[in-house]
Amino acid sequence: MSDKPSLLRFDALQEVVNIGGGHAATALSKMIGNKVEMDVTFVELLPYEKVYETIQSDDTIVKAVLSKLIGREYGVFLFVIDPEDAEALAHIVLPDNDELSEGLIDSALTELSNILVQSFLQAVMQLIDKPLFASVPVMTMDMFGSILSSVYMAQSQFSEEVFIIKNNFYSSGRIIEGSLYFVPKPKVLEQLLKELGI
Amino acid sequence: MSEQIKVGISDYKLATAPNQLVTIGLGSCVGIALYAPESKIGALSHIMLPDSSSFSDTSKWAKFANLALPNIVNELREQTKETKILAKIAGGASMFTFTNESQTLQIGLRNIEAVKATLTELEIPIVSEHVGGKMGRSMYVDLNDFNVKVRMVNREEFIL
Repeated sequence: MSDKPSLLRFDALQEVVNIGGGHAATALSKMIGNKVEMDVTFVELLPYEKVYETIQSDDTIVKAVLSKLIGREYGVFLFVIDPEDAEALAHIVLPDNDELSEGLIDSALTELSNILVQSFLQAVMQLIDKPLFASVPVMTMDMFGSILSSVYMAQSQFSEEVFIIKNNFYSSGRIIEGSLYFVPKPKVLEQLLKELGI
Repeated sequence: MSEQIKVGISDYKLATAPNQLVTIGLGSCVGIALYAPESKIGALSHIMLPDSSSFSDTSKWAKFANLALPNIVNELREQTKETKILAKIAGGASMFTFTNESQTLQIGLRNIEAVKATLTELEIPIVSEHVGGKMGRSMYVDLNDFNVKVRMVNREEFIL
């Protein structure tokens, strides 16, 4: 992002992501049969250093699932979760298995992330009245810093400051926490807001 | 007492033994450890991009391999009066690979190439490297002996 969005546009963006995230939370709670709550959408321009200080340390090991928008290449979604929480989630959706292999956990996680992204997109499609498609997701487990910086760079975001847009999801009862990031290509946010008439 | 000096993304630091230079979470970025063996002074650079030529704003020169390395090497040579500088490099991964992506688009690979080309131009030998692949890396540079540890998730530590 070359120019910082004005306050009104910031609010509008936050609202769009909030609507998408809310839709995703509902879909996830149906899937896991447990209430899923969401924090207020996080929208902030931050230097990497601050991201690692305030959101997640760069050396934290996480599982991350990446889905690309195709057709309209607006950017990517990145679902980030602690490996233990990923395992707990997998046990909820695959309750008949006592022991889950890493492969099963990862495919359950990938599918859950896919559902989050697809339901997020459904809600946003209704807002902008244009079709949006996401690719088949890919997953990895690595350091948060390696993943985040590489994902921003792959979207041609080369600034020392990154525009962080994310929803945090929690499942009540058991504390399972995950974050869905949207990483836009440059100028995409302006374009999206224009399509919303803002 | 030795200190651990952390180098962030698009940044670099110079330090002297017995201190350690560290950079965490290299993905497609490349970490370049440079060392003047007589004075035991070294530098660690964490570049993000291969080349500055398509960017209008190059004030953050430490971000680009083609600008960062000549500058840092100059600084190191001036400070130590040593001409023989050594390099060890790590990083340049492709963290996520979609099957339909061509290799030419992968920033990690382009970063590795640019770092190697720039170091060749500066006549600095790459003593050892751990580059490419799909995994993130952290670098720990010991300035006493230029021992460089590369740490990865679920893999054995690699000593450069």
